[in-house]
This record gives sequence, structure tokens and C-alpha cells, in this order.
Amino acid sequence: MIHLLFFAIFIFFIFSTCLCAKDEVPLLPERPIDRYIIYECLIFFWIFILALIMVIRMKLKETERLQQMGFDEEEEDVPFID
Amino acid sequence: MKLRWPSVTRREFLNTLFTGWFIAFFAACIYPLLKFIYPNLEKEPDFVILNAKDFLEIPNNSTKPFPWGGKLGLIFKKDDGTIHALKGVCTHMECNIMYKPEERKFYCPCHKGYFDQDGKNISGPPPRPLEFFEVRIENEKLIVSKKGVKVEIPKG
Amino acid sequence: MRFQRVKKWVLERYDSEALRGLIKKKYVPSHKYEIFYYMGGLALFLFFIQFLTGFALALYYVPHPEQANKYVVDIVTKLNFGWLFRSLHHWGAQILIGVLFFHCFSTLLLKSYRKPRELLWITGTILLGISIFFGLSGYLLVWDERAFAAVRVATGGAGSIPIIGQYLKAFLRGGNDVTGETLARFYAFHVSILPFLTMILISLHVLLVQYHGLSVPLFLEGEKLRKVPFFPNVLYKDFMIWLFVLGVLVTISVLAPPEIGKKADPYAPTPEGIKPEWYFYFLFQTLKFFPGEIFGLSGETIAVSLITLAAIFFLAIPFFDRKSSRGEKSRTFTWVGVCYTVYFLVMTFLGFVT
Ligand code: FES
Repeated sequence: MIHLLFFAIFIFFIFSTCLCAKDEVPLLPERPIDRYIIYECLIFFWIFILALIMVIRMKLKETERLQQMGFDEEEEDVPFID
Repeated sequence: MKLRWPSVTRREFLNTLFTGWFIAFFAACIYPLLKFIYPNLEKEPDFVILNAKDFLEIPNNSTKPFPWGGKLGLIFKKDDGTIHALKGVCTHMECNIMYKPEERKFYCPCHKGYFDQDGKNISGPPPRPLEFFEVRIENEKLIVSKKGVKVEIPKG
Repeated sequence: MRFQRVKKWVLERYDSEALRGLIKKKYVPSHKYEIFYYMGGLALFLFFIQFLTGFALALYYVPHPEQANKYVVDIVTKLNFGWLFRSLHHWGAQILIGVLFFHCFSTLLLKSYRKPRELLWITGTILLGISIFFGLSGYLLVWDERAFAAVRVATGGAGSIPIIGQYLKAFLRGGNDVTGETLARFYAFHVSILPFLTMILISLHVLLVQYHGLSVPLFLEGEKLRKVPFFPNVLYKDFMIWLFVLGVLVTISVLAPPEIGKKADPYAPTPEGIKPEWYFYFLFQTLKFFPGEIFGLSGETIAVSLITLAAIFFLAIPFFDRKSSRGEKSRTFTWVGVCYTVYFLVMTFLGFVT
């Protein structure tokens, strides 16, 4: 399934590469394989970002829960520099 | 009347002296800096001398650019074969203009200003007509000068 | 352990209690409009990205009229990831200026500039102005035909300001006309003078925010609001927003790299349909409305004078708006704010469609 997705993206961008080939200055690396790598990296980049956001969300929820339970002081002995 | 106390105390006097002196000193230091960062302005030339050969051959109803100082100048040949020269800079906001042969107008693409063949501003925002120069041909040279400037050609 | 030793070293010399107290004391009020609180932080993050990508690009760029354009092309085509960094720098600037406008107009409409935060408003507005000038100067560095024409028009417009205009124009251009001198000048502005000013003003702005705390909208002032600790709750949310915007920025940069035109040529006719960057549209459109001549005066001079006045008034709004400073409702200035905002939006929109 995921391979199919990547393949579709690959085809799409190859196609778009041909479309914008009229540019005088190539603004992106022109070889199709490079393009493919770039777009694939972009997808991974998003996956990482979304995962990171999710983790932060979880941390936030946790902090809020502790604060609601009145554990604000919990951080007292944790010096901020470490 | 003799004042028993001076109207300015010594302390006030010193404070004023200090502030005034300081400002004067600061200004004296800043002056060369200001002078330095403000550019030397070159004047527009009064005339330029071109090779007549390059410009007399152009077809009727067309233009050819030449450098007028750092700006664009245009040699313009009308339908009847007469040669004219003008500054190719729009009078509105100084974009370079171009000649549209089919419409027989000068056109400025920046804000769609139009000038007729004599440089009169006929539509769009330009406030003034284009600046035309005087053209004279003297032994193989084309002399383009500002209107009313007498050109002395250096010999040799 | 090493780390314990370092910690001890620091603690022996610096009073961490004070700092920790400061951090713990920092609370952010929570209410319906709290989303606006995140715009400043987002702008800070984008400034950071601009600095970073800018450092990288400055390692390769040379501001010479003959070569500048070629160097930009080389950065994009020959260097590893050059295309990415130029694109990031370009789009980062666009998004940053958009965020700054949003930040500015939300402050205006919620009247957060009122006493005691006048200086925050002033530093912020100047920063917005500086950012726009950043945009203009950076735009010229590509040294292509469009940038050349745009800068010619923009500096020419500055020349229409009464009295100081001619001097300002010559100062900006480094001569009578836009030439290689202008390129050198704009490079200096872009990489040294403006960043320096920006750093100072941002520090001042951020310090002032710490000092005053965050402003609560007038109509919520009396109410009891929930307070959320900045550290870590709000900071977490900040991070999430930053990450998201980073993702968007990278995506746009990869999918829509900004184009590079032909090398600027002072003798070539201006290319058809030139437009300035979008954040100049509101000025550009205003200028278009004025005819070439009004009662024998140049329409441009009148337009530019009006714009200058409007800008000065904008900067001084906190001092005119006495009512909000006293904590009363001020109808007039709500309207003033709405006028500015609507004018900006409408003109920008018109700039896009025409
Ligand atoms: S600059 Fe030519 S019409 Fe405005």
C-alpha cells in the first residue's frame, strides 16, 4: 500500500518535472531520482513533525493533569539548568 | 544694581558647559560619518557623442538604445526618416520605457503610461512629457545634447 | 559526575533562585483571544530561521552588479542544498512579514498598545518597518530585472516625500540612479545594519513583554481569568506551533521555489507587468489611485505625503488614544483600527487581483 502511494507520488512529480522544465534556471535539482528523494524526504519530515507534536501534546496533557492535582510544587527541587 | 548672588550657580554653569560641549563634540564626530555615507551625486551628462553609423541605419519607425549617463537613452527614427533622441525614462516613477511600433506610441509597463511620438503623455499616470534631446550629425559623429546646451567638441 | 561539578560551578557564582523565581512567576492569562499571544513567539522563531538561513547564504553571495545574479544562480544550482536554503529564506521572509502584520493588527484591534505598553507598540511598529525594508533590500540582492524595476519604483517613491525625499532617495540609491552602488548599499543594509537594529529592538521588545506581562483585552479586564504558567504549558504550545509552521515553510519552499529572473540591465526596457512584493501592494495601490497631477502639484507627492502622515499617526496611536489608556471604551480608536486593517486588506487583495 505504502509503496503504491510512493510510486504514485513519484509518477506525479516526474510528470510535474516535465511540466516545469521550461524554467531558465533549474530551481530544484533536475534529475528525477533527486526529485523523488526530495519529495519522499518531505513526507518523512512531516511524519516526524506530527509525531513530535503528538509527543509534546502528551507531555502537555500530563503537566496539566499534575497541575490539576495540585502537584505544581513537583518541580521544586529540579533546578532549571539540567 | 549689583547682584548679591550670581543668577547662575557654579553647578548650573558647569552642567550647561558640559552638555553643550558634549553635544558640540558629538556633532563634530558625527559630521564626517554623515558626509561619508551620503553618496557623491554625479550629474546627468549635458551631451553624449555616438557613432553616427550605428544609429543612422535603423529602420523607420523604430528605436535603438544608447547610454545617457547611467540611464537609458533612445535614438528614435520616425516614419518620415527623421532622427530624434530622447531619454527613455518614464516621467512618472522612472521606469524604462519602450516603443510600440504598431501603435506608434511609447509605453511604460510599470503603470501603463503612454506617450505619443513627440513624447507627450497621453494616458496613464505620467505627469510630464518625455525629455527630447537635440541631435546633430558632424563628421561621422552623432551628437546628442540637452536642449539649449551648446556643445563644444574636443578636437582630436 | 562531571555534570554535577559544572552545576556547582554555576550555582556558586550565579543566583539561580532569582532566575527560577522569575520563570515560575511568569503566568499567561487564558481566554478566548489567547491565540494572539502566540504570534509574537512565532515571529521570534521565524526571525531565528531568517538569521540562520541568512548566515548560510551570506557565505556564498557576492554583491557585485556583474556577478550577483550569477552567484544566486550558482547557489541554487551548484551548491548542496542551496536551492533549499534560498527558498527557505525567501518563503520564511514572506511568512514572517505576514505574521508580523497579523501580530500588529491584532494588537491594534485589541488595543493592547494602551498604557503602560506604549513602548512595546513603538518598538514593534519600527520592527515591522525594518522587516519591510529587509524584504525590499533582500529582494534587490537577486539582481534580476524585476527586482531592479521594483527598487527603482520604491526608492523613487521615497523621493517624493516632501523636503527630505531627494536626500533620502540619493542616500538609498547611493547615487542618482539604481546602480551597482545601490546593490552594495542594500547588501550592507540587509546583512549588517538591519540585523543589528533588529537584534536590539527584539531584545527590547521581549524584555518589555517580560516586564509588563501580557495585555488582557479591555473588555475582559475586570473578569477573573484562569492563569496558565508560561513554563512549561505555554512553551509547549509554542513549540507545537513552531513545528507546524516549520513544516509548512519547508513544504512551500520545496514545492514552490522562487524564480530567478534575467540579470538586471539598466538599459533594457522594464519587463511587462512588474509588481512589487505583496507587502508593498497597499502602497502600490494607493499610488495608483492618485492621478498624475492635482492642482498643479504632483499627485505622487501628495499620495506619498499622505502615506507618511498615516504612518506617523499609526506609530503615535497609543499617545492619541487617551480613553483606552484610562481603561475606558474608545469607539473612535476601534474605528481607526478597523480602518487601517480594512484598508490594508482591501488594497492587498486588489494588488493580487489586478
Ligand atoms: S513609472 Fe511609468 S507609468 Fe509609472
